[in-house]
Amino acid sequence: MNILVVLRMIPDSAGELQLAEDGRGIDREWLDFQLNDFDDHALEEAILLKEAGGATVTAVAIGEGANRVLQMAAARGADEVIALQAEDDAMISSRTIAATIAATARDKSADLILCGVQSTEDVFGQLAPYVGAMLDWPHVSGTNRVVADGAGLRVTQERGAGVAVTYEMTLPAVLGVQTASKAPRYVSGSKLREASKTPIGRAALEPSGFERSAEIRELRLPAQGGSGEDLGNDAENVADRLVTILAVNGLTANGLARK
Amino acid sequence: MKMIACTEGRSDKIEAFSLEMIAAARSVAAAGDEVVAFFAGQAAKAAAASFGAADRMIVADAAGSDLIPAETYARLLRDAVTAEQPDLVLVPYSANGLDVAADIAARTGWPLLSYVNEIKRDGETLTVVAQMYGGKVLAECVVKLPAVLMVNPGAFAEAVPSPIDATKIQQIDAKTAIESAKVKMVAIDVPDYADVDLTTAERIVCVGRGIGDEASIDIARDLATILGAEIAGSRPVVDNGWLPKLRQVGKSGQKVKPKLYLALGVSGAPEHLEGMSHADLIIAVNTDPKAPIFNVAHYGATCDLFDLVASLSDRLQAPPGR
Amino acid sequence: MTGWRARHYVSALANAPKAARFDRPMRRLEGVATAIGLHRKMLRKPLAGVLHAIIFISFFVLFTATIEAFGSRLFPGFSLTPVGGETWIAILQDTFAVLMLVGVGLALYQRYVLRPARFKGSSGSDAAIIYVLIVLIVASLLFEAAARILGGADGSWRPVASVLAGLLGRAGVPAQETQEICYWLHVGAILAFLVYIPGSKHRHMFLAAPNIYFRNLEPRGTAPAVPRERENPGVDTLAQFDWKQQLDLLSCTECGRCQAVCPAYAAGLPLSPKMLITDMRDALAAGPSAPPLVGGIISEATLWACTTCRACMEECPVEIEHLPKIIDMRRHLVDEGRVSPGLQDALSNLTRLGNSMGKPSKMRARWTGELGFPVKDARSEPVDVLWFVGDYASYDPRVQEITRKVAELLSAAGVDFGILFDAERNSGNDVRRAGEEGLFETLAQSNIDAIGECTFNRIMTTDPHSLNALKNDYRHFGAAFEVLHYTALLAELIKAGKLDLVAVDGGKVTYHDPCYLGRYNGGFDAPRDLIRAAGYTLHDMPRCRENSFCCGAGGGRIWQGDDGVTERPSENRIREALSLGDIDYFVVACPKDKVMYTAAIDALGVADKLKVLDIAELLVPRTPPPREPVTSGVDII
Repeated sequence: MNILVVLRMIPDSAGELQLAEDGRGIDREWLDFQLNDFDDHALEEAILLKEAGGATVTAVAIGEGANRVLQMAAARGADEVIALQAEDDAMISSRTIAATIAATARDKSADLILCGVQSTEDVFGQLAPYVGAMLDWPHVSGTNRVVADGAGLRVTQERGAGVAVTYEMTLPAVLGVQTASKAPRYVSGSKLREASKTPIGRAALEPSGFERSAEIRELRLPAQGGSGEDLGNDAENVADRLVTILAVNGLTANGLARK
Repeated sequence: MKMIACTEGRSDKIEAFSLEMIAAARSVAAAGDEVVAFFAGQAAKAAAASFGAADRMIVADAAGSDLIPAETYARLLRDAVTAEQPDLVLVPYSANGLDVAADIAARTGWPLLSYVNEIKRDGETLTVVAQMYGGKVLAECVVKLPAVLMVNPGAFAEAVPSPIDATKIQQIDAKTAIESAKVKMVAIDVPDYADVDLTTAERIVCVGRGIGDEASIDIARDLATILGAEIAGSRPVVDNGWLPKLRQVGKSGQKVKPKLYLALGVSGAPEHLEGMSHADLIIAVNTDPKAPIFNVAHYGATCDLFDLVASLSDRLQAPPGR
Repeated sequence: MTGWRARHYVSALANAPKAARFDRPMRRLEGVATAIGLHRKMLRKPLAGVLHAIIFISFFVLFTATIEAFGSRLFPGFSLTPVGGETWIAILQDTFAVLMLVGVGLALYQRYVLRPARFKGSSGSDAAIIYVLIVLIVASLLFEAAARILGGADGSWRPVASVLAGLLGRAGVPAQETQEICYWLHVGAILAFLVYIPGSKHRHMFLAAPNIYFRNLEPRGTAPAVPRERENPGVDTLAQFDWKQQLDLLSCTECGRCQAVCPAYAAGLPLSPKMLITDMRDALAAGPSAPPLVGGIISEATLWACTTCRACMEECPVEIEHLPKIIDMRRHLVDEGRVSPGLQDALSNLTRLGNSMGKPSKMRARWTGELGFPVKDARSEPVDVLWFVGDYASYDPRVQEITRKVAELLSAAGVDFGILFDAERNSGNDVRRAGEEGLFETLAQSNIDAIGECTFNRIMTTDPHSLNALKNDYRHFGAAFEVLHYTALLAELIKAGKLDLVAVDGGKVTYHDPCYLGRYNGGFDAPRDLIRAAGYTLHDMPRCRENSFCCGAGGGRIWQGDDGVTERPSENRIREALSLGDIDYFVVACPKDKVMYTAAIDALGVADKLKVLDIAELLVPRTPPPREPVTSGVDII
């Protein structure tokens, strides 16, 4: 089986986001970029499939720090790594890169494309269904378990309310991974150093193929605090107030189960 | 202008957000515009009994299958889109919608915007507010019709359920699409609610990543016991294995609507808010004043959650009259 | 028979990887002399030290009796009489036989009456058997002499035996037979003893001296690098340990001093440094039938419990090296990706961003923003002192205050200093000790490259952990910097009259020696000088200086949860400080300590009694910090 994994570098959303001067993007200069967490799980799922039944894994990375992440992918077991050259400081839109991913998949004779189910920058649509539709391959998003099963796959998808659905699907296919079957492994520094010798291939981004797309006119930060009342930061005061609030709402004193 | 509102169901029930999609379409519809509800699944009867707010309904009745895979759903929708030539397709942001929205957009070449909270119409152009960066940023976007929008559940109030006139219902054949599907459902695991059903709980104490470690869950559990509440967790807490999956609140967990929702150390990712923002009384405690949970909380506190839990437990346990 | 019983060990040592421990013979001998001759470490525990000294000396004296006993029968005519065997040697034997019994008596009193906790987990039978054998050997020796006297020999040089002879005479025991029986009893017991030694902890009689001789003479703060010959970074079989590491296992006396000082053991974690060694020793004896080393003989939880505080090694009387073994086994776990989620987070952050907190490197120097003056960028202009700030001091809001305080003190003293801004990375000290050698190398190389592009005279660190890495570990890359801790630089500035302090009438304070400043790098006095210079009275805790008790954060512990901890080391330490009585401040000199002890005081609910202050917070410069740092009059090399 030939597996293609897509690794997208996205702004560290744990950090504080500031808007760019033109208001149409975020200020990327002061940001650190990290691998999209779901993509990390996609990579792990690919490696797990390789370990379970043998596969060739090609990792394609895009964005600031792509080389570093490709070394990590190689250290974890990717056989070939390719850096996609993106425009500097551009948001990584699935809609833009989907055609290139589809072309790379054809080029590498991939049977399976794995990517994260979402990214924080995929406001113009999600990668797995885009690529799946372009190649006319079946796609399933939100997987938490993937097992090779004869000529096809057995895939479990997480749906809301704790419902999990298992599908059988044919290859070739595209999966949007939510959680890998096992948590992504840690790669030691010595393995990373060893993998740093892996040659990194380069590829250019192809035109998206879409004539029309939506446009961002302006970004803004959501209003802070909402309309709720701020009870402050003194635990004793807050506790006093809460006792009253619970009482007023009929949620306290006699209404409580005392165990 | 014609709009298709995609709706969903599982077994014999429709998903509540289906009515929100119809309402969202309705909200941009002018006089003379047509809102067409699209439904594929087993719950065709329930759909017919609820989707009265739509002008018409297209139904792919998949009797006998609890749930149809997104691939099949997308293919049936594609046929409807080809036949109807709508100006706008509204897809819910759901497990199914994640696969459907971009699939339709790719095959039609239409623009797509995801995680949509607001839609305003200006002739042939829509101004749409969408969430980015985990809800930390709102993007105001413009999109020319025809287009596809993936709409956040909870962003629009549900349309009032009413039956739809039988003459307005058009059945389409689902059989061919189901039989030739490359993705086939083989099992569906529905949680056993014997132990706990958060969806019916009146009081919930929910812990988030801010709780720190597994041992501290017990502190929150003790408070829940005092309050007569169920303990619940956000995704990171459940992913860490600190609470069972059944106790997860949010998009991939349970959607809850209790009388009291006490969120301890929950930051409030959009997916979490989706599961609890309709609670009657939301109290949030988080040391980060910028945590999005405060956007939906009725009361917010930024004190240390352990201090608060201790103080609150003391007061609630004290004999009456103190 | 003795040789047969020792065969496993001999072959294991003979086949072990090499270790360079043959240099500097004089220094090595000197160490053996002080350790054994003076019982230096042994006497830290007075009763145990004295009783061991008595038994130890008695052994040598009574060895003459052993020579006589074997010599006289193996070589007819052999006798020590010509050299004083019946005169001065006789009286020595007579006296030391009694002393030996006194020593054993004290040992029995210690082990069975006092029962110190450090013996928990030690072999009780090993101890009991040796007591019986010694009493048997000494008693038979005395009674043999007594019987001889009874048979008419001269008893004037053997007063104790003479008294016994009197007793025997009154009991009407036949002299000739008794002498014969006692002789064979004596010889038999000695032979039994010899056979018994190789399988027991009493091997140390022969191995303590070589183990001390071949001790590690490298700086305490240098963690051993991965040997080039080793295929993988870690160790997962005993045979991969070099011969000195294996000799360590055989030399252990099970005295438990290491266990008594171990913070992980005290915290209830599954680590006893003693049992770590004895478990591996038993596996060495079991040979190939032993279960796998990592995760078998030594559990993962045991390995991750260690704070690398080095108290065990400091305490060990026979210079056993616990830490290199733990680090080598951790290296194996890390290489296999077997790390706890907390550690994985921290290590991933360090890989990605160069700090454990997951903060952007561009925010590293943000603390300078609230300073009243600009801080030089050492990458673009020469400085006298290059300040390596460290992760906690740079990022943690609780410590940033202190960092700014240090900057103000330096500025007040007219020090020309600069920092690396976003080019600084975590020093890698604890990354290395967590077993992540590859990441350590990456971090170290990155820092060395950044530092290499700066012009400066000396490096100052805030964090003792950075101090240790830069000073000791970076030698591995050929980097030789002059590195000092900020307490050392500040003390020097005060001495030189450059930093003038407003002396306050401060109250009583106690001071916690950080492991990596004190025990690892000998920085005991500068912090104390500073405390006094600031006008405070210092009351040391019982565990201070070399015997300081770790806060529990080192060696990567700060990145892991405290599952299984019954009492946090930091809380144990705060209780110790509280027991001093009237103490106002708990003074620290390590950013991690500020974090750990503030949390401990909160957890114990004693914030009204004690407050954690960094030394820098005690110091008030007389001149207010100038708006611009003074840069003139400093020689730049």
